[in-house]
Amino acid sequence: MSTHYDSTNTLTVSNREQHPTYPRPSYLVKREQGAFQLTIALPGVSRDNLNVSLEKGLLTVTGSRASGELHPDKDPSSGRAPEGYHLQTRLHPDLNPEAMSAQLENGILALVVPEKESAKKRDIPIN
Amino acid sequence: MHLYPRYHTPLNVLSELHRALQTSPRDPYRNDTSHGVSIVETDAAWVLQTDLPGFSKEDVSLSFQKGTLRLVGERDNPTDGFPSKIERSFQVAKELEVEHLSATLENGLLEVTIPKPTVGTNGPIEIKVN
Repeated sequence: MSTHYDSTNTLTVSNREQHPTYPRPSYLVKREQGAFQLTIALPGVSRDNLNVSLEKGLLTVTGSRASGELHPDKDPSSGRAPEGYHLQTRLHPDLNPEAMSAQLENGILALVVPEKESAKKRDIPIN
Repeated sequence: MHLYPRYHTPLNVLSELHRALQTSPRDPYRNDTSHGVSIVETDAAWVLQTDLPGFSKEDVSLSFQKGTLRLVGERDNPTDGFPSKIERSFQVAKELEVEHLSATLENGLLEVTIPKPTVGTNGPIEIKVN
């Protein structure tokens, strides 16, 4: 459902390639019950190869795919898999990044960032 | 040591697989049509990789019949917004040893290992020269 946290306003995923080889992964944005939810598809990325960091409101997610001894097929038509994924976005100031939760399961990373208390709707009493 | 008959090179065998990659249905969450399928190569096998984010191995079944590798996946009502049903098919060249296919699914990435064909290794054949 569309909200004021949607991708055109809040999720300003950087178009500049911050990483030389990792493409941006598929992701979905949702707002539910006063929190911002970002789910990212990171197939092949395990917890050890995933890094989620936050600095001054800028969220960065970087994951590498385990390749072991495999090397990519030389044929260019093979649809070469990425070696990893990279995504950056600035979080809306109404969100509370300190309370962010992150869960990785079966290659999907689910991030939930709740709204700040001060940003929630308050009724103003009229005297 | 794995040897290949001269009539087919690894590249020919691989292009059978690659052609098949175009026949799979488009996944709704991806903008491109490659649906996260790729092939990597080791000395002994080809490994077909395909993205199945959110799926664990209990959710998928893989079967092989008449040269077609078929993948079906279904998971219950995911809240993550990614697909709950996936169905993909791949044509596999008949030269490949399909009896020995193995697969793993971890971190939402399915890898199907297809061993490279071997020539019979019964030892040297002596040929009498008259």
